[in-house]
Amino acid sequence: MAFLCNWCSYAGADLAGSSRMSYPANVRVVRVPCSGRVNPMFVMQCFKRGFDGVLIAGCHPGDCHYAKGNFYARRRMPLVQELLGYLGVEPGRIRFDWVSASESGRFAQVVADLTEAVRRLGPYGRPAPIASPTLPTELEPVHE
Amino acid sequence: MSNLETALRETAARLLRDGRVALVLGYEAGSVPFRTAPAFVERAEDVERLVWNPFCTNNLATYLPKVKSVGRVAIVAKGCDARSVVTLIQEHQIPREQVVILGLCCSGMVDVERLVPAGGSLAGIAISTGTDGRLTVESDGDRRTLPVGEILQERCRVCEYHAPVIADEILGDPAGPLTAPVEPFAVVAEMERRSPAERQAFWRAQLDRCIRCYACREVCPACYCRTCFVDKAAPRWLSKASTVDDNWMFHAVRAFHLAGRCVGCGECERACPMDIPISRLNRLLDREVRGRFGYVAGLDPESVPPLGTFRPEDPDPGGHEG
Repeated sequence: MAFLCNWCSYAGADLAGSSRMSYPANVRVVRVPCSGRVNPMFVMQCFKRGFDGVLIAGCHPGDCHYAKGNFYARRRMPLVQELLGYLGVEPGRIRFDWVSASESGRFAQVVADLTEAVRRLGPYGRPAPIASPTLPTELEPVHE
Repeated sequence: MSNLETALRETAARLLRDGRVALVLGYEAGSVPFRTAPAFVERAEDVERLVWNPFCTNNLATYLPKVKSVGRVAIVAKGCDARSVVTLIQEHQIPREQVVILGLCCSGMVDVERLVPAGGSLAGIAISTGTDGRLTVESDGDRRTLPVGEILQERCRVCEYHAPVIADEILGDPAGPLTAPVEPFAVVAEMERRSPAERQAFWRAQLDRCIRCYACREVCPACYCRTCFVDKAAPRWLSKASTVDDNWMFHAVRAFHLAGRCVGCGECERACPMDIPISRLNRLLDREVRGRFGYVAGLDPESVPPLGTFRPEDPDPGGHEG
């Protein structure tokens, strides 16, 4: 799941597309007004709902359309990463980075890196199947 | 009766008699031994209800936003409670002029469960506080004198601010008999030695037991939102059902909402009927906020909480170059 700020990173992703760059297709983009709009609860909700990695990208510091939204995000997001890491979500599943509107190559690279990191970590939080001697995991075939 | 208790009652009576406050928030004897209950004293002749002993565990700051409509309120505050009051003032939940802080220098609160041997009962146990910070425990003719530290609640053993950081009246000796605090973040580091899979398994097992009674939220002085995110219908962040995933979401978000605000009073964990070690999440964030932003919650009513501000020179996210 990628949360991209409207003014820089979404435009960067758009440029990557119109420049016919290829990047992993398993990213789902949510356009937000600003990286400061990304409520930490969005990130937690992603992992609760079964996403395996989350990208939050915004304008470089100083370039924020709203002047300071990305500065707030820069304080929050590392803490989210730390808290979720403590709860067992590997820090590599969360990437917070800057992508400007002209950095299409960088966007493709960030997505590729995150996807690769997540692929190495495997799916998040799938509990091992319950091994129970009394619960048949497969049904007996029915014979006439 | 301790001298502090007498002094507390005198101060409370004086404040009420002089009309300086409309209400004194303090502690009174609970309905069972070794428990106290919050007391709401409105008349000077009722100050005899107030008690001060090693069982005044509640953080009364929780009640401040709820009772502020009566007028000016005096609050009996231990070190941790006073930091909660600072947080409330800082976040405009109560004006500084409207609260009179009766700061009590605290030598820690007793964990009732540590008092009795496992499986034993509280019947027949008598406790008296010494002036030297030791407790005398008597049970069935057996008399033991214990340093308070041995039977303190965990949060008191790691407490760094026994003396209130802010107070209108200080009762007790700020340099009183204190034991050096145990390293508060050891419990965090212990978890960090485990692998992500082990952490996941640990927290899933812990949070699976949560019954979502919200006692942790209700007792928390920093959880004063009128509508908590869990009660919102739109967006509906999580289900009312206490499934382990919903419980995980609740505790993760609650911990984050307290980042840079939690003073570590540990009431959430004490109130938890399922004994879930909730405050470890808060303690992790406390350590991170100190390390990253050099900020300790609840010390300065004039300061801005760390997530409500920024510095242009804050560190950039890892992995970013140029």
